[in-house]
Amino acid sequence: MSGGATTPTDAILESICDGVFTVDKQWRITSFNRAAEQITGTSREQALGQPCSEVFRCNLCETACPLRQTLRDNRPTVNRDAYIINAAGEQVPISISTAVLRDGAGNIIGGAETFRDLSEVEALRRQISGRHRLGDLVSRSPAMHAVFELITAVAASSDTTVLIQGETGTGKELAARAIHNLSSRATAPFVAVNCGALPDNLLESELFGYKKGAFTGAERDKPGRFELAGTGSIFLDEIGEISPALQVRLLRVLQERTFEPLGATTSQPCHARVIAATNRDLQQMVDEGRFRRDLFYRIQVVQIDLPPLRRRSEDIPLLCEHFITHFNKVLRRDIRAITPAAMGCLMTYRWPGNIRELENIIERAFVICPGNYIDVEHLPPHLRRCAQAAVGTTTIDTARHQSERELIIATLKRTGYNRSACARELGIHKTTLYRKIKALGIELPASDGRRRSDDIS
Amino acid sequence: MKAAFTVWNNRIAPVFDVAGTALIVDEKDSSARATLSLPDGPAFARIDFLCRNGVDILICGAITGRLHNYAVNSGLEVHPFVAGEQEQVITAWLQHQPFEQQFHMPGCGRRWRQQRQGRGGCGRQRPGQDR
Repeated sequence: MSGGATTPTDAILESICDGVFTVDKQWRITSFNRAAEQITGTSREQALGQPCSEVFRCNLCETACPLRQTLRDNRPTVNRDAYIINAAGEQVPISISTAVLRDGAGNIIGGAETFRDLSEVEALRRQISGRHRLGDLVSRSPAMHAVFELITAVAASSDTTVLIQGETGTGKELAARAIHNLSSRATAPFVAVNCGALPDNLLESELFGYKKGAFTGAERDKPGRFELAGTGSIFLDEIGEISPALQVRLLRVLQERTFEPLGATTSQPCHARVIAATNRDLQQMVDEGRFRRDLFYRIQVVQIDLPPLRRRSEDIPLLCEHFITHFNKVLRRDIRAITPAAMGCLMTYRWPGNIRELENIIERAFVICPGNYIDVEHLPPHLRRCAQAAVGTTTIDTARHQSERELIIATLKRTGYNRSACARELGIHKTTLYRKIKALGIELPASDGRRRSDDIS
Repeated sequence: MKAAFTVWNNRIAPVFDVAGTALIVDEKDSSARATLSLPDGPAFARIDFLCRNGVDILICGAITGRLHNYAVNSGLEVHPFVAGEQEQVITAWLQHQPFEQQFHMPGCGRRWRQQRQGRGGCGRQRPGQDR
């Protein structure tokens, strides 16, 4: 393979669709087949003699190189999942197998690595799970599917200004990123600014930038976020927090599609799409005179309302699965699932912090849980208490049973546990009472109203 | 100007997205170097961490397109797909040598030249285009 397909082995390696390369003991590449060229985007001529980590560019190279482990332990690796970054800067999912390479005398002369491109498998997997997913938003709730449709429609019209409203933690930024990534602006930058996190004058220079000498300390020109966004999207989070003065400047940007950096004498064109978000009721703020009506109508060309998690509790298992997969990858754990009891707690909670709170609770459980299953004891106390309180009042049947149980016990006590008298007093047949006593698990004393103590003696 | 070189085994680390260590070099005082452990977790956090530490320039190995965009949007000047001995790369940068042709990763040479002309060149090229 190093010079051309000359031996039968080389011919076979050239014809297979798995990438194959070999290294010497100094980790320099000694052979590189055609599939390896295609998957990595690096030609054989460029690869030969180079350190394998710089040609292969795998996420495992630095910390958990399978080839290094194979040469150290003399054990092959089979189908280990990883990704490489190809010459185009794209992540390519692969599965890796490795083996020790020996000469005719059995001496170790290096290692061989084969890798399979899993892009198509991954694409199919995404397509299947994509029914419940849009970008990083995950849901199977009908309410969210209406939002998915709106996001897809808005993304297609790439200039429309969008207002996303929703409680804290409902995924406003994820929705904004989904709009950006699905639009024709996807290859341009997505710039996010939290308008509530900065004081007014800082926010102004952050958004519009400044020129050298505009104020003390402005030693050089600084581009603002509108300029950095270029032809991409600018996401203005917590738009309801900006001051009246800045509202005027923002209105001008949206109307004129131009802005002026601080200290500039000329305007610059604004090509970015504006996506704004808030957890406040902007309409109410407008009615109360705290937000400019004209700006409100400028940004609310299309409004997307994200439902809170308590109104789409059917998404909780799906979101849990999503976060478990995520944290398993990030924290290098092997949590497999949440026990039914713990899931019961999660389903009954009100989720004031919405999906962000759920994410934090799963992350916390990862820290606390030593095994493979997240159980009730790995959930925060307030969530467990909430679930316990909810147990007795969740359904009307439960409430009715509880009430019947209390009434029967009270009547039985009053009638000295005489079941015929109790049934008469309750207005039901004696056999119905027996059935209820059994069904409701009411315990009767050893001596009851059917037999007096003096009868026994 | 402060530059961060992500390093591993005395070479530029092959993949920025999972790199563990960054060497911070100040152009004004190249002898005062600092070694920073990059945070685990989401790759975007590494960029935020470098920005918080006053880094202006990032010189690194392979980097995914989305992360590269994020770094540029965060105000970093990014020199991606660099490979080679860390000292040689640092020296070349300090001496303002056009080191991008000498120290590019195998198969990523043309991207380097595109990258110098403007932002966003890294992830836009099709595989094999530079062959």
